[in-house]
Amino acid sequence: MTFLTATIPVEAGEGIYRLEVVAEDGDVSASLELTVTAWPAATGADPSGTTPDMDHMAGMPSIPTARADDVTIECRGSGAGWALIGGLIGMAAGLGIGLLSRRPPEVLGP
Amino acid sequence: MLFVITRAPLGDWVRSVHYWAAGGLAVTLTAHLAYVFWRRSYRRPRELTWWAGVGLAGLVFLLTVTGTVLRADQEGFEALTHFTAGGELLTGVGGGFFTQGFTPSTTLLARMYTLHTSLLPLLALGLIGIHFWLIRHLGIHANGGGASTFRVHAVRLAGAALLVYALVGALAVLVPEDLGYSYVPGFEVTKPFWPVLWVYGLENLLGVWGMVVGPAVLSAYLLALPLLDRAADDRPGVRHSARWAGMALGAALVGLWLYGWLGEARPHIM
Repeated sequence: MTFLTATIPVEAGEGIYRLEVVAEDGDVSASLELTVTAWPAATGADPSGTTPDMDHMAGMPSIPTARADDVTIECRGSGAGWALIGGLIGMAAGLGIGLLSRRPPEVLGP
Repeated sequence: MLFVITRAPLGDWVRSVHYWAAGGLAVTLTAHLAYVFWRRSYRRPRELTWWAGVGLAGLVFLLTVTGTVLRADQEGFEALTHFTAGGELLTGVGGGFFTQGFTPSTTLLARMYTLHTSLLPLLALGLIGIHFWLIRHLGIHANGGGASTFRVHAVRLAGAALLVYALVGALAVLVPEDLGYSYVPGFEVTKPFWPVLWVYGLENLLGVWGMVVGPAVLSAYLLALPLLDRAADDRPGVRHSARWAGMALGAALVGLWLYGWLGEARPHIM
């Protein structure tokens, strides 16, 4: 069994990363998925800083706190993605207005 | 969830569309049910159409709460504990399905996932098919009887649905849905998705039994309505004790919803 220690860069953003071990000949000899979440989500600590940070007190266990509010997760959308979303919304609105403004047929009956 | 939000192509938008569309479905379903109730379109010969619609409303309720579980955050975890508590209360009538002991080899969360993504949508598709076929077969019960046809109705329905889709898509861009904090077992601090806040209000009053009693009473009334209101006249509105009971039930639901929304968050199980 091989043990490997990896340090996550502090500037690493939230998301899912693939950690790969590359051998000298260039082959990937091992890999694993790594999920990085914001520190309040991981520890339940109060990001407002109004409660004492137990994690940094020697000998004190971390006390998780349940929270009812949401984490805001930053997402990077591409220009093409936004264009596609705008196109879908516009197409739905146009088709919807078109169908609603259609004159109903004259024939009555079930 | 993090992968869907941060990595999947358009994943964040699609998830937000899913969230807003679920809320939109709750609004349009409630409006449709209220209008059909007011028009008394549940009466003979449309009882089966009404019952199919009541079944669909029940499925939407289940889709809402199973979908909340899949968030896998604090709110999702609390929804899961509610399922387990409700399942234990109703073990004698099949509620055991919602407890881990039902099939120890498959986790409850995996079963919720299967329910939400496969079983409940398939049942809903079947009931929608029956509902639409009956509307096509029996005709539209509209003002002036026979003034509308299924085809005209379906075209307008599709048009309105596309406009709702455009609105939901825009809302998903402007107000994307976030994700709650990682759950901490043993705590109950969140309120449920807003369409089911009336159940939350009832739980504040009755405890965990509220989530069983409320939906059961509402379902029993809706299912019995075509049998209770057998008056021969075709006038819409409230002129019958069964319909007055429905108005009272509706007012109670609105009151409970407001209480659930504005009242303090309370633990019901933990």
